[in-house]
Amino acid sequence: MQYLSQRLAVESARTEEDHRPQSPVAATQRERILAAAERLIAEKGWASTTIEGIVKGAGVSSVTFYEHFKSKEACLVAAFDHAVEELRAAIPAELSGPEQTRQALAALLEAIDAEPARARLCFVEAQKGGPQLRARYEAARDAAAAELSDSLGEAIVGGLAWLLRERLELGGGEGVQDLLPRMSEIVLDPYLAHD
Amino acid sequence: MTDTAPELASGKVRLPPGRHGLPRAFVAENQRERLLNGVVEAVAEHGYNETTIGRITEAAKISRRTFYEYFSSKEECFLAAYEMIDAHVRGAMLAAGEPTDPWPAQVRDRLAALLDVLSRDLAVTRFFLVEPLAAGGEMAARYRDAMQLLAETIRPKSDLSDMAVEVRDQALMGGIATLITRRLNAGGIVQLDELLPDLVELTLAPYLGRDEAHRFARSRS
Repeated sequence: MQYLSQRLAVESARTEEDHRPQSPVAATQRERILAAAERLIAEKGWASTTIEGIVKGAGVSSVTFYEHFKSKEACLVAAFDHAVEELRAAIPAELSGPEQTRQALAALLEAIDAEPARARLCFVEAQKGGPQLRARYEAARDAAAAELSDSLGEAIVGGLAWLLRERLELGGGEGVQDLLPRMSEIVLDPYLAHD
Repeated sequence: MTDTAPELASGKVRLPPGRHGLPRAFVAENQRERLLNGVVEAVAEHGYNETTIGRITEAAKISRRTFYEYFSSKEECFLAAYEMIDAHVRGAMLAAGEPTDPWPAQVRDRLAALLDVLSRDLAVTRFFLVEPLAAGGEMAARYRDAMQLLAETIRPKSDLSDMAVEVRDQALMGGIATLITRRLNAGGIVQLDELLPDLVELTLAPYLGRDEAHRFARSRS
């Protein structure tokens, strides 16, 4: 993350969440709310996802919803963060060489294949959710680019993100793993040449 | 026509009220272009999703009734403006570079033209590169086509399969758009021309190899 505006956006949303309760029951409720939000956003998009819909899908009361999140936007941001964390957890943390970078890409595609709704939230819908979410999306992309440690890392990650977005938006993410050889060969190899 | 004709045609100046003796077709073109300018301004201020027809007509200083003479929806108006910007940007790229130059030099000249045209008006650039993705649907589809066409202006003659070319073009334009929109979203003074070496290297590396692409991209002239 290089820009103060993005940093501020991330910090402010995080403090909002930290005020909220975290007892075991609350943690489960929160997870259910986030899971429902993720599912609804993937089905209907940000704009058509309502607090009523999330509450119904999660099987909690709207009072409970507001104990966890102070607005729909706060909930959507948390759902995005959660989805990004889950995707990142599927990928090896250290990318110290070309081979590891390729393996990380393979792991990412596998995770997308397993949870297309989550991937759709991360790669497609996050760009539609207003300035705060867009800043989040960009921060997550920057974090991924930082691991490539390369002046063009940002552009390469941006290119990969765009390819994935295309597949997820147009084809629902089916067969995304079939992209792996092409992505490796065409998108990564020319830039990872120095071993 | 008077000196103000180009400005009228650009949609930035209002026609004088009452009978002005201008041909009907000119008035129509002027109103339409003012609406196209209006949608760019409204979107720059509010973002696509918060832009309403009311905000477009307000920015264009044109009545809502007149809006409906030209467009049936905000989407239609957005797409018409998009088409005009797209043609303008692509035209600038195609006009740059000598046809007799080797391909890497053409790439550099065309990418320089892209950055030049995009740095002239950041509201237009945001409209072109950022907002279609926020809008999704038909707008995103137009964006997709526009990026494909831009990629074609910097593509070498190649024996790759169509599928590989498509993937490479998409990744390249995704990367270029990422670098540009990052600069836009960061706020402050936007120096898009500083991106030229990175864009050139990014475009050439798959064909020339990383070292040669790096050398060419960072060399003078």
